[in-house]
Amino acid sequence: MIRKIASFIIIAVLLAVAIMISAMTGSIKVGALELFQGLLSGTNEQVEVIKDLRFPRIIVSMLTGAALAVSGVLLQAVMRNPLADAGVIGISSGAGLVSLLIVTIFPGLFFWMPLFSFIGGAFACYLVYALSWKSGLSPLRLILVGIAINATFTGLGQSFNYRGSYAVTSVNQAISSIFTMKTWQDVNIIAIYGIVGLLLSLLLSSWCNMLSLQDKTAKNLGLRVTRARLLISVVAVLLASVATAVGGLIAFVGLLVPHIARLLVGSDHKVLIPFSALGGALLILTADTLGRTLLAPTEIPASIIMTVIGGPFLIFMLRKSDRVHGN
Amino acid sequence: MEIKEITFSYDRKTDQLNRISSNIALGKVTTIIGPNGCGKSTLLGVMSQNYKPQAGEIVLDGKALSLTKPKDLAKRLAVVHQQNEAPSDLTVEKLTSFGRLPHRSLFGQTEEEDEKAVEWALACTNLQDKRSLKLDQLSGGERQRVWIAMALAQKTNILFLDEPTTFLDIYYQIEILQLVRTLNETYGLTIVMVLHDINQAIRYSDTIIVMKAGEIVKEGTPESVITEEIVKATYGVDVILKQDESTGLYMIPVSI
Repeated sequence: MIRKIASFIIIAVLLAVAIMISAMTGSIKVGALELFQGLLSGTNEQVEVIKDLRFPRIIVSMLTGAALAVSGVLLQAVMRNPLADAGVIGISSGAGLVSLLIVTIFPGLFFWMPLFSFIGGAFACYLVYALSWKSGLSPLRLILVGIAINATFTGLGQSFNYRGSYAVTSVNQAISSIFTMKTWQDVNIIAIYGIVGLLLSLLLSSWCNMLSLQDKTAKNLGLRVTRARLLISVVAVLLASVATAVGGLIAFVGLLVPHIARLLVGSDHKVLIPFSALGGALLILTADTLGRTLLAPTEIPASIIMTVIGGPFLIFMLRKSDRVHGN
Repeated sequence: MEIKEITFSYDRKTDQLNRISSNIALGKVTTIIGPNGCGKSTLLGVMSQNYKPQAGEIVLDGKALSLTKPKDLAKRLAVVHQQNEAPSDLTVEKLTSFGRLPHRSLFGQTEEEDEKAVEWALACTNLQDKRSLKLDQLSGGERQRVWIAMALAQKTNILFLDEPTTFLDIYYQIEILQLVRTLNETYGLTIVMVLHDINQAIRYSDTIIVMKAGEIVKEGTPESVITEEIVKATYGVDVILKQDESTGLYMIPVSI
């Protein structure tokens, strides 16, 4: 219990520190005091610029991280598989591909992008289920099918993007993740869909707990297992899709954060879900802040940083699950 | 509790259960025995609505169980499975409290009644001292008792146990069976269980149902059901039956 409370306090403090550092560093530098005074008075020009450019970026990266991490927790509960992650098994790339297509064909529908992302993500999720279901979900088969689907959608997205020219177009943001040029409109989109998804996932936490038992046990406790699976999957896909629509394709967040969160606060989803949300927010905000400050003025997208950390981590998890499942 | 003409098949080709009918006496201990693959665990699965039969129905208090809402069913009937999985960092008390979930709404808080039921379940299974231990700190026998505690916390009148003593050494086997007897005698629970050990079935049951190849061979009191002929016919084993003054009927396998 003490360990859980301490973990929450520490991650909240770290997140606050990360927000402060992220707001203060970059091409415009301000001190903490100056920042607060500027925010209150609204007269400091530098702070106004930060408010317009840097704050949306901070909020979007935090919500993207939180949504992806919680989406990972939910997928892992539904698939009973600690390796499930929206980025790894193709849900994000399915979401990215469909929103890329729609934005290219109908640029006017920009505000509805999360909806189209959701359709793409749900389709990818359905494919993963349908193709890996063989009287049950074997953890490794699910991951292999997911990786294949991810490769397919990513490839389709890239070939579409490179049609005829190598010009980097505005749609590029749908498949690579750069948090530059995020506006308050992006904040609105991800805040509405993302926060609804996060609240729904908190409501579903006791179902997630029941699914961590066997299906037959959950059923004997009065749970409608299929319905619970479907609803939790929908929320997971919603979170992953909105994160992809606004934040771009970022893999491994849903793998890394829940795993570490489980070690710190245990497997009770009532605690695991909020903690993972904070952890995901911290991770992506840190990755984005590092990405834009390490080699400034060149930016390393947060997605690339996550891939560099996440790849080895997936190998580590696979080896670990080998020992657990013995196959 | 009535079993009416149940036919069930996993693959729709061969019947695992072939038009089975029986009547489970409420307030008694009923044990289903039979050779491997005879369908005894399948029958228990159909009775607990985990498998949907191709034909027939299970009727409790005049109502078909297939028409009962899952949550309502979980308030009347609890099941302890043979093999169970749970996150290893769950504590005994936490897992036991999962048994209260059918009594709560999605947003419901723990109430006094919930706490009482969990306390009672822990006391019955003698786990009060171990309540804050995690599952991976327990022995096999203790872990089985936690799953029974979870089922007891559901506060149902009927308890199903699927091979509750398999994988346990003889001490824990007897411990579980005595617990079953106490639950029946002291709290009036209706018990239906699947056992492998015929002698244990004889000692701890009011009624025995003998199954073979998806059909009921015979059912009734242990003395009327367990005969040398029936054991030979169902298991293919020659046995000698003896009466002991203190323990009653018992069986010794001789040859095949």
